[in-house]
Amino acid sequence: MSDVDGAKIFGYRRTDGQFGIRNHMLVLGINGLAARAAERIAANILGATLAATHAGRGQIEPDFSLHMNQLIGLAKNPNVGAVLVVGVDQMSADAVTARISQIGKPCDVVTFAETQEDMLALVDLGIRRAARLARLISDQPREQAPISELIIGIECGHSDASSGVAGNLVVGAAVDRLADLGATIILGETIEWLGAEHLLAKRAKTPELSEAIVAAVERREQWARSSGKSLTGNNPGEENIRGGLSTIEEKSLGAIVKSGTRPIQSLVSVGEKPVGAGVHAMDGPSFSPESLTGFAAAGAQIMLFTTGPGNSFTNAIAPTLKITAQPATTARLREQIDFDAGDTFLGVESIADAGSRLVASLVEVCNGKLTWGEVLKEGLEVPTRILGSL
Amino acid sequence: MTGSAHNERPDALVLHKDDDIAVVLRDVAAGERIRTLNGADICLVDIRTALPTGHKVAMHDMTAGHRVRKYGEIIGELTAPVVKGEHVHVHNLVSLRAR
Repeated sequence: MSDVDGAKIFGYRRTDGQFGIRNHMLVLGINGLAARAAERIAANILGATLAATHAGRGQIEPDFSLHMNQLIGLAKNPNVGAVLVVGVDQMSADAVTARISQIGKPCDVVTFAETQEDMLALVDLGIRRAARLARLISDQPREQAPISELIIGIECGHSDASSGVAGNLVVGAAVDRLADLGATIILGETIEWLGAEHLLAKRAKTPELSEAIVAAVERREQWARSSGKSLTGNNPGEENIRGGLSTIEEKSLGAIVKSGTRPIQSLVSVGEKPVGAGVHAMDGPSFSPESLTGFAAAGAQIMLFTTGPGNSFTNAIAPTLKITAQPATTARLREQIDFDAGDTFLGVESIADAGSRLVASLVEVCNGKLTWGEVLKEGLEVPTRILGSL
Repeated sequence: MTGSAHNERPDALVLHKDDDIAVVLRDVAAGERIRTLNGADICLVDIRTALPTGHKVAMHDMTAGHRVRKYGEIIGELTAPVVKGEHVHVHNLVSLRAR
């Protein structure tokens, strides 16, 4: 048994039983008309985190529920200690507030309706209410919890050929360890299973799940095909192609290894919280801002994000560890790469050893060490949509 | 042209025994003879076209239409014949999916 097997994490126990590794005061903009106001409120509160959608009107099903579930999911994320809902009309803002308050999370609301469309008055009220919430949660002590309390999102962005032969394998080794310790892991980005879905299907816990995984890929493949354009140039994209990846099959085969080797437990939808330990698949978009938001809305407290040439994007609510096996990237992006797996690509460190180091780094971040993305305030939430607003 | 692997780092890796290509681990120039690790063996390959780190080099001659394997799995189909030592990429390899 190595050090990480007995590792404890210290974080925040929520009234609904969930366990957070950060204690965010979340300013949740639920309507694009109030996005700037939400931004202004957050900018005036120490440590406030912003999630402000640009949508919020003219939405029909299934887009409406998908969008709303993501916003509510972000608010319910255990890394969030309190929420200020910033809305336009009172009814929908109150409905969102009620859904968040249901789990016992401190939550307040401010709307344009309340200030008769006066933005400056709304910002003033919003700052006062957010300030009270921020102060309220500021003295919650950290408590100890096992690694099994974690939900971990795994992602890659700007893959190159080092990803499939090193970086993603290191994450895969860490995922195997974390799954064995009882953690929950979410693999998303359905289109990046294309060409490798048979390998995921083989790992599915049941025959039904196996079929569901293949069907999810087929749905997106059909979607891409019906656009009349080849995926090449879009996915794999320019950075992937420059890095040596030629086709989506090749990219997918290198991508799915970050999910390790353990059985796949379930297939969840965007923002849906997976139930139980082990690796779960999320049928969601592959674009990192939207994919990570889907994980955070499902309750992920932390993300493992691999890259070849670099990718600065991080999630706002869940600390996002940037991992690369490309030595030139680590050297070039000193204030972006949190974990250097370059020695595995150079053949001087084993994948297993780097995987153990990565688990140790993840524990450090859980216990409060800031990622580069947190220090530099890169974090953003981008709810995915189906079609657009009417 | 094979010999046993030794501690020196190879220039390229064959990731699976069924693979048609190797991944180069550094930028290689046309005319170079590179050391490619294939299982426990080192194969020497004469590079025909320059290729950057991470790109794929053909390990044997292949005809157009050949389904190319990497990681032991099919990653696409050749649109042109390829000879050993040549670059395999988007100019001669296409996806079989979503098109």
